[in-house]
Order: sequence, then structure tokens, then C-alpha cells
Amino acid sequence: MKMFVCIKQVPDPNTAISKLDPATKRLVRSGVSLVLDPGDESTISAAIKLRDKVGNSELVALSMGPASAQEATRRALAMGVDRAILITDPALAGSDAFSTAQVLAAALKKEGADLIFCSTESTDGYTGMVPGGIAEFLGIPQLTFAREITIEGQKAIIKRVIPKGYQTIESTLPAVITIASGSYEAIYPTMKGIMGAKKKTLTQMSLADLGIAATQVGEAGAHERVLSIGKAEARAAGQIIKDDGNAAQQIAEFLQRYQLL
Amino acid sequence: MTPPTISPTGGWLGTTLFVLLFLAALILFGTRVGRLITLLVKARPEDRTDHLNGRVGTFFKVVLGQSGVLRDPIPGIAHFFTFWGFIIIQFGLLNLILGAFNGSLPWLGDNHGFAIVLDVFVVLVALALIVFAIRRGIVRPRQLNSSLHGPWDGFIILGLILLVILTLALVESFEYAASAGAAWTPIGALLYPLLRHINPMTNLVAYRTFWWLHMATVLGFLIYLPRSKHLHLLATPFNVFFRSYKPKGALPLLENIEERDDYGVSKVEQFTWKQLLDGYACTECGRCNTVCPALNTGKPLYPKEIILGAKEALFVRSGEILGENSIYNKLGIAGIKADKTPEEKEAHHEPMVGGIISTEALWACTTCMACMEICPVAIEHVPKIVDMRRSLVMEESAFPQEVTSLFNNIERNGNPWEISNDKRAEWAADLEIPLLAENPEADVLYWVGCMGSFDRRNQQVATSVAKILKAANVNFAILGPEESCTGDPARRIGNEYLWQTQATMNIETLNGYGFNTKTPAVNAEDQGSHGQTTTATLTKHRTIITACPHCFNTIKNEYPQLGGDYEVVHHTVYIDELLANSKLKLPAGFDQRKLTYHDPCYVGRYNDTYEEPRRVLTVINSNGVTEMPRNRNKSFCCGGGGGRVWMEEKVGKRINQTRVNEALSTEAEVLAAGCPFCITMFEDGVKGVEAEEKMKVEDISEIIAHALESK
Repeated sequence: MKMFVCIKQVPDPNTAISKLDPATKRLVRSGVSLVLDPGDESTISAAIKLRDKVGNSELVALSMGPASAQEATRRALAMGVDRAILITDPALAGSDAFSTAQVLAAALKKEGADLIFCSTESTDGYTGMVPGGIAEFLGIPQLTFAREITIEGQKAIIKRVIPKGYQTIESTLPAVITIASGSYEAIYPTMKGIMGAKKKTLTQMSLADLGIAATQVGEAGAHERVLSIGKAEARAAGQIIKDDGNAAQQIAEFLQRYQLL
Repeated sequence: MTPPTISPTGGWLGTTLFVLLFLAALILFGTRVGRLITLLVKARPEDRTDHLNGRVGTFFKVVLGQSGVLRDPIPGIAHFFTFWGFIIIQFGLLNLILGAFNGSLPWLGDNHGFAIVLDVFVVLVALALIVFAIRRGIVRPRQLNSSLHGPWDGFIILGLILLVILTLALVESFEYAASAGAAWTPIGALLYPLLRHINPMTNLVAYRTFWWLHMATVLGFLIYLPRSKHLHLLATPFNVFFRSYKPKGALPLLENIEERDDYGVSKVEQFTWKQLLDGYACTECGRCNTVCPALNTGKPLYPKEIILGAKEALFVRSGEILGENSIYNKLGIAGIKADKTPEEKEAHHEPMVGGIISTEALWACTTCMACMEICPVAIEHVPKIVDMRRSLVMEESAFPQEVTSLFNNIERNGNPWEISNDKRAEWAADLEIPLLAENPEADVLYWVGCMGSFDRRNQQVATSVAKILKAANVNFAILGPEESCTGDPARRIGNEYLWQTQATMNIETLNGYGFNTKTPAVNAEDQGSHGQTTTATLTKHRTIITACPHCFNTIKNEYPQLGGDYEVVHHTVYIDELLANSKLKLPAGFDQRKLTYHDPCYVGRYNDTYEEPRRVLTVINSNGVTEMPRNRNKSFCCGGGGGRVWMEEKVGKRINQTRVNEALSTEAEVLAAGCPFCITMFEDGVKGVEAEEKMKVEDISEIIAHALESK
């Protein structure tokens, strides 16, 4: 089986003080530490587990980004992905979710994929639209918020996280599966992984390789426009429960209210 | 040389029989020992031939002087007499053997002085055996138990020693009687009144019978020895001789880390010969178990079983390790302790890590080194445990899940948290402390460490250290964002690669500022203008100080492995120096609270620094230091070392609370420490036992800074 996992390099969400450029209204990506999206780390881990379980399969990491995004794909390779493809082209700068999905779908079509894993959303832009876009462009089903995946013959069956529990749903292959955040523990690369990653294939593709015109993508082809940016409202102070005998009950009620119990 | 009065064998027939038996026993013993030596020869190499003079000295002190075991007086003294008794009895034995050939030992053979010494030791060994038997049979200290070996081995050995001295005494007595006093020995003379009336023929037969019994016991002992815990008798002298002369606090470097085939130890074959020799030398006394903070709070780590587990794994694998072509395999005796069925093999011993040595045990270790400190035979537990962790981390990626974020954060942010390293100097924003970049000529670099820089509680410690340095007019600076995690927690947890990455980076930074004592920065202005280059170097004394013993230990003892040689001191030692040089003046006896001091493992046992912190505290505190029962090299770990502070403590009692209770038992109002992890662990511990009202946890620098401010 040919499996793909779509990954992205993002400004380290844990440390980068998110800076927005008032002129472009976009996230500043230079001068900050860039990492493989931590969400993608657990998606990659889910994919690796499934690849090993299904057997006789190849797992390819697919990313679109500047040449520096190679670092992120190296991390994926170190974690255990078999090879990686980085689509990089100056014309891609400023691409919106629509173009990104279009470009990734083109590469996936060219490669031929049975199963495509994506994180639910990236930890920088948070649009959450790319996985759906890929499925749409490829004309294949999308299974979202998976916390458990099984492959039976030519069928994918997932447990899909919903507010009150989970649904079990299935679809034919090929399909796009998005992973619910927090469902899979990220694999920490072994030394063999880190050293082996240097020997694994990392292919670079350009727009020409995919037969996409520069005008279709990037700033030029963007369908979205960021109109304005603003500060997020400061989070309201949390509720402090003092134990006057029924604190346990109050905590239980609080958790129930959010369907966590 | 006086031949014996009566031949013990009764003639050439008996002597020939004895020679045959003796040779057979020798061959059996030889193959058993040869096999053990071959296993060491086939193990991984490790150089232990440095400091030869020191090694000879240690050998005299620890082996001949028995200084290791004597620290525990009762079994220690008993062991001392048994050890020396054993050596002296060997001469007696040689004399008895020569008797079969109508000869005796030159000088000693008919020397009454030697006869007296020999018999005195026979009695002393007998007394020692009583002590051992009471201890093993009645007192039964828990540490003598072993999950790998039944209780019988110890008793068999005691029985054999008893037989050796008993038969020796009987040989002496009946020889004396049979020769009518010609073969003089004190025991013989003492018992003669009882035996003189017995028919001389009976005495002669008894003498010969006990001579044979004595020889049979000795030869039996010889054959049994390599299989029993008494192998230590052969191995310990070597183990002590080859003990490490590297700094105690340094874990061995994993060389060529990018080009290796394996990382650490998962199979017994990956240990070095010295690590295997540890197993041979283990006497199974269990002193390590008695001091282990993990074991003593209910964790599944028995340091002794780690050593014996490796030995067991070696014996089980011995057939494969020795190889099909070895003489031992051809004789069919290569498998020292081979499993009989594949199920047995599967169930018990493959692989060693995760099999006979559980991963839970390996993760429970705080690397406090109490086990190594107390071991009388120089066994090195901690590096072995870390070697096995290395394999788990770097080969299997199998470690407590909480640690993943630690690794990722150190890797990405240069500190254990999800905090940008750019904020490293924020704690000092209002304190007017220059960065080294702004004051590159500073005499002292204060290495703040991650805890001092980012942890709110320990920022107070960092602030105190800075205040003290200012009060003493020290020209110092900090690195700020140029400082990065030393890598210590990563290394202790087993992520050697991450430690090497961090260390290399920090060494580059420190060398850049000319702190390296071996490769000082070249002063560019001194370069000759006539084509000559003078390599004038900075001769200025430049010191790194730190309040974190973990940073201190790894910079001082481990960075040299990667070419980073620095003069680095723990802040308590530096403060002690400032006081000694009168650069810092303290209101003596200012602090009047009752105080106890906890020796952090990485200051105390790791670097033998016990007195400086106490001196400082004795100046500032009117009561001096009230010691806890376990102090100095017996200090009981806070539970935070070895990366444990980053892992959850799910099993047993809490180590930090155990130590806090010990501190509370002194009725101290202050628990002073000199380590950010100890402080964090103890503050949690004090809260855990609800003793916030009774006792405060303070760094020594805080106590001093407070006094300086109130002056």
C-alpha cells in the first residue's frame, strides 16, 4: 500500500512570539525558529504505526514550502517515514489553503496514493481546509478526526472523535484521513532513525514537475484575502474552586458541563 | 627444611593418588576460571591502565587493608580476619601438601612463630564464622537476599570454610599426638592432654584421615569457587585494581556517535570487560541495596540485582559468546548456566534489558551514586544503568513518555521547557548584570543554568547569587541567551546524542570567550608584525561559577571529554573562598534559626565537596549545622537526579518526602541545600507532608543574601 503523510514546517508554536506583518497581514516566518508542526509529529506517528501494521507498505512524507522546510522533512524521515517529497517553487509564496490543496493533490495524483494522512489543521494558520481540499481535488472520500484506524482489504475504518464519544465509520480506498489531535503519542527519533534519515531519499519538485502554472498559485492565484488582523481577546480568568466541603462535586459538575466526564 | 615426622599419605601409593586428585581438581578449576577469563577477553575493550601508582596504592588499602568492608564494622572485622586467615592458611596448606613428599616449607615449615600465627587465625576465622552464621541465619539483613541466587550459596561457603579450619585443627592435633609432640602446633599442644591416652595407631589413622579430608575440602572448595558468590575472592583484587580513575561524576563518552552500529547496551555482549568483571567481583553483600533511594521508597530497583542480572545474562549467553570453535564448546562446557529449554530461554534471559533486567528498574535510578560510594569492591552501577538507558532511548525510543517533551525542548529551545531561550536573561532585567557579550573581560562567568534562569523559585536563588557577587565586588557576567542547557538531564536519561550536541555548542561559546584553560584564546594584538607569531595567551584567572550541581558536574567532569576544559566551581565553594579571602564579609551568626544541610549528590558524592557549604553555613548561622542521620557521602537523594525530576514518580513512597521527614526529625527550621532540583523536590516534599509551617527550604546563597541585605 502506498501511504502519504502531508506535513508542514511552522514557527515553533511553543516559543515563537507570533509576529504578524501589518503590511502583508501574514505570520512572520523569518527570524524565528522553525520546526516540524508538533501536530504533524503525532500524525506521522499514527501513519508509521499503520504502515507497520498493514505491512508491505511505503510511507512518504509530502510537504510544500521553502527550501528550508527540508529540515522538517528530515525530522519526519528520522521518525521513520521511508522517503520524502518537498514541493518548492518561488511562485508558491503566498499560497492560500485552496492553492496548497491543489498543489499537494497534484503531487499525490502523480505519485498515486492509497491512503493520505493529514493533521486536522496546522499549528500556524489553523485553516483546517487543506485536507478537505485534497480530497476534493482527488475526488476521494475524507475521514476526519480519526483516533483509531484499521485497514481491512480495500476499506479504511476509523473511530471518529465526536463531542460525546466516537463514531465508527468506513470508506473505500483511496481516502484522506485526518488525525484527531492528541490521539497519538509522537515518536521520538532513534539514533538509527536520525542517522538513517541522512541516507533516505528527499525529492524536490517544482511547479513545472506538477504541470501547474505559476499564475494558478501563490499570491497571484490566491482566492483568500486577509482583510484585517487584530489582537485576540484576553482570556477571561478561570474559575477557582475553594474547598468548602463540596469542591469535588463542583469540579465534577464543571467537567460534566464540558462533557469531559 | 624439616620433613614431617610422619608421612600423611603413608607412602608413594597414597602420594600418587593425591597427585592425581590434585591435578584433576586443578584442571577442573583451570577450565572454569579459563572460561571466565575468556569471556572477559571477548568483551568490549576499555582502558584501565592509567594511574598505575595509584592503583597499587588502592590495591594495598582496599584489598590487603580491607578498607571497603571495614566501613561496616561487625561484618567488616569478621571479613578482615577471614581474608587474612585465608591467606595464611594457604601457607599451612602448602606445608601440608609438601608433607606428602616428605618435605616442608622453607623458613615456615618448622617455625613455631608461624605455627602460632596460623593457629591464632584458625581461631579468629572460627569466631568470624560464628558472626557470619548469626548474621546470615538469625539477623538475616534483607540486603543479603537475592532474587537470582538461593540462600544456600552463602551457607555452603560458610560450611566449607568451617570444614577447612576444622580439619586443619584436627590434622594438627592428631599429628601432634601421633608424633608425641614432635610436630608442634599450639592447637596440637592444647588438645594433647585429651589425645595422649588414645592408642598411637588410632591417632595415626585419624591424622591421615583428617589430612585427606582437609585436602578433599580444599580441592572441593577450589572447584566450587568459580561458580559461587565466592568468585569475588578471585575477582575482587582485580576489580579494585582496575577501578576507574576518571572523575567519579563523568559518564563514559559514547565515541563516534554518528558512525556507530549500536548505542549503549541491550545485550550483555555490549558491556566492556570491566563492566563484566564487576559481576564476578560482586560479593552479593547488598550494601548497595541498603542505601538506594529508589529501593528504599518501594521502587523496583535493586542495584545488586542489576549487577547480578548482568552476570547471569553473561553466564546464560556464555556458550554463544565463547563461540562454537572454542575449546569449551568442544568439551561441551561452554554454557555456564545454559537454559535447558527454549521456553526457559525465552522467558528469562532474552534480551537482557527488558528481560532479566527490567526497564522499570533502569528508569527508577536517580544516579545518586550511593550504591557506588558504599560498594566495598569498586563496582560501578550507575554507568551500567545509563548504558542500558542509552540503548532504550537511542535504539528503541522507549522511555517514560513525559521525557519526550524534555528532549524536544532542549533540542529546540535549549532549555527543558516550552520557553524561548531568548528570555534567558529576563530574571536579571532589573539587577544590572552585564552579559558576557557586553563585558567579555569579566573575571567570573556566572553560569545560571535553566532552573536559575526560568524556574520562578530558583530565579530567587540566581538573584541571591548575583547579590553576593556584587557585594564581594566580583567582576562577573552572565551569558544570557548564549547559554544553553548543558545537556546533563539528557545524558543521564540516556540521550547521549543530545548531550553531545548541547555540550559541543556550549563549549564553542565558552571557548569563544577564552574560558578554556587548555586552549586559551589567542590575543590578536600580540601577533608579531614581522612575520613572527607569538601565541600569547590570556593568563588571567577566569572562573565559571554555578549554583546548579548538575551544570557544575557536567561542565567540570564531562565537557573535557569533548575538549572543554574549564575552571568551574560550585557557588558554595566560591562563597567559601570569598570568605576565606575576606572579599566577602558576613554578619557572623546572623541567622539564628536551627538549620540542617542536605548534601546534593552532584556536589557531595560526585565531587567530594562536603565541608565548604558547612563552613559557610557555620559562619552565617549561630547554631551551625544540625546534621541529619544520613549526611555527607551517605546523603539520601532528593529524588530528582538522573532525569527523575522530569519523570513521574508513580510507585512507592515519595523520595523527596522521605528526605524531608528526615530533615524534620532534626527539628530544623531551615533545610539548606545547594541545588535547584533539591530545592524544588524538597519544597514539593514539605508541602506533601504539610510541614510548611515548620520548615523552610533555602539555598545557601539565599541565606547569605538575606543576611547581607539586613546588615
